This record gives sequence, structure tokens and C-alpha cells, in this order.
Amino acid sequence: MKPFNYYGYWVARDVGRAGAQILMRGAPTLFIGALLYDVAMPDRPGNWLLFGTSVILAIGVSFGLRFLLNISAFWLIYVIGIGSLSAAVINLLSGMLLPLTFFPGWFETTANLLPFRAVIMSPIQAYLGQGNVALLLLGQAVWLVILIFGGLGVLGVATRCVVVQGG
Amino acid sequence: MRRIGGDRRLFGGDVFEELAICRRLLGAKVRGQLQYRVSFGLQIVGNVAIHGAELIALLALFRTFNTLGGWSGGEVAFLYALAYISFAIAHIMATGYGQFGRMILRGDFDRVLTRPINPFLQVLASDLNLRHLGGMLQLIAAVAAQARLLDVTIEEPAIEDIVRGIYEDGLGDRGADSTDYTGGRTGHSLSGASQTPG
Repeated sequence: MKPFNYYGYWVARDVGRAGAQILMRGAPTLFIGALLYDVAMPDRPGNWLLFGTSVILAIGVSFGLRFLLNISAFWLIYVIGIGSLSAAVINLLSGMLLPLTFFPGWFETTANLLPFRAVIMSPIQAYLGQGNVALLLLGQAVWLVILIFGGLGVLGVATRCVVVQGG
Repeated sequence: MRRIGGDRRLFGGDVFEELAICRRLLGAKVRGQLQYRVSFGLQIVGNVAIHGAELIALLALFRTFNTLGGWSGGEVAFLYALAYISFAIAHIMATGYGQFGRMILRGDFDRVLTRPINPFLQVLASDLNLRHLGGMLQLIAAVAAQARLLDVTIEEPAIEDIVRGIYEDGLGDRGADSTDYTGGRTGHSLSGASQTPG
């Protein structure tokens, strides 16, 4: 086991990945889109701040989800199938394929209770200033805390298992 | 003319022998994948889930907008499924070529070129990804269901036209008797299919 914080290592990697994606894919696309089309922008500077906060929380939640998923590799040897299965669930329930508001009411309600919407749907709604943005951010923060503690807890169990196997 | 690599035998008469080797290599790949049953099953399920999610999103979209550009949800689902089926066939048959770029980068293609078997067949036989079978079967069912719901009939002359079109394109004989196998994009006519509102 290398002498660094394992969880911190993956957080740092993922923040770097997300930052690069925003700078190299997100920002230019938004900029070109704004030049070519009439794009709706947050109307007050404060809304940009809320949107930024929401994006940061979304990166955290997304990381927390994927960390839990990938750490299942400690017990499951077959991660590829789980990966595409979870991609399908996340794409559908986060609002990635289609905004959740287009779905039937019961589906939207269920999706709102799950953490996946915090990854895509919440930042978009914060950007558009739809609904109660403070509540959106609170929801994201709650899921972030749950996922961080969940991830750390599972990681603790996993490393103990590895030590037992290795010893 | 001799080239680097083993393709000197392609036209030398041993094509059938090489195809047999190719088939045996692919057979080994398939048996290898089937050894890990849970993994294989999960890959199939995962593939089905991805296309299921896309179909659900597509139909949810058409819940709000009844038609998009004159196309109904069922028609778009039909075309989506039809397009994916050909994509899946290509993916299953030519998995090796899907990873060809990586193969060259890693230097594995050098190994292929030193063997006295046709490199094209070797790359083709280097991998076979069966997980797309899941989505393919699912979407064949979707096409069949939609064809029934939409009352789409694929006419035999239409199929003949498509085949002739591809054949003539392949010969580089474009222009002459250009077969319109895109359906002309007029109204609702689907590729090589006629339909009546059902």
C-alpha cells in the first residue's frame, strides 16, 4: 500500500479530470453556442455563482457515485457489465438523455429522490434559475456528504478485506 | 508483388484454409467469453439496459411533443432500432477493427505482420464482442413490434433495389441508374419501406 491517502488521490485525479473537461469541452462549446444561437443566460451575477457552486457539488456527487461503483471491484470481479448497467441508469435518472421534467410524474418524483439528478439536472436548473435553487443546492450537498461518508466507510471495509487476504 | 506481411497468399489459392483458421480463432474467442458466464450475462444485460434507457427517453420525449419534423415517436423508434441493428452487426463482426488503432499504437500489429497469414483476417479474428447481441435482439424485437404497430411492410422489390444500389456503388458505378435507397426523405416514407397510417 502506497503511503498516501487513497481517497484523496482519487478525488484529486477526478477534480483534475473534471476541470480539464470544463475548460476544454464545456466552456468552448458554450461559448460557440452563445455566439451562434440565442442562449439563455443566468440573468444576475449571483445566479452564475449559484450555478458554479452547483457544478462543483455535481462533480463531487458524480465522483462519490463512481467511487462506490468502482470500489465494488473489490468484491465483484466482473466490473464491465456493472459499468454499462450503471451508465444506463445514470444516463436516464440524471436527466442526461432527456430532462427529467419530460418524463411521467411518477418517474420524475422517483428520480428526484435519488442522488443521480444532482449530477446533471440540478446544475441545469440552477443555471436556468428554475424552482428553488437554494433547495437544489442543499439536496446536492446532502447527497455529497452521504456519498463521501459512504465511500470512505466502504473503502475502510474493503482495505481490511484486502489486508486479511494478503496476510 | 510481395508486400511486407503475409497477404501474398490471399490470391494464391489458400483463402479457404485461412478463412478456416479465422473461424477457429473466432470460435476460441467465443468459447473464452462464454467461460465467464456471469460476466457475459452482465455484459448482455448492461447492453440491453443502455438501449432500453435510450428507447425510454425517446418515447418520453414524444410524450411531450407528439411529432418531431413530421415523424411520430413510433417511427423514430423504428428507425433508431433499425439503425442500431446494422451498427451491432458491424460491431460484432468487426470488433477487431474497432480496436485497430489501439493495436497499431501498442505495437501489436507488428506481430500480426510477421505471421504468414493474411493480416486482414488476423485483425478480424483478433476479437469478437458478443455483448452487442443483447441490444441487437432487443431492438430486432422493437423493429418487429413497431413494424406491426405502424403497419410497415418491406416490399421485396425495395430490398432488391437496396442490394442493387449497394452493389453498383461498390463497383464505383455511381450516377448510372442511381437507386434511391434513402427513400427520398419525402414525407414519411421509410427507407425501402412503404407504409400506410395505422
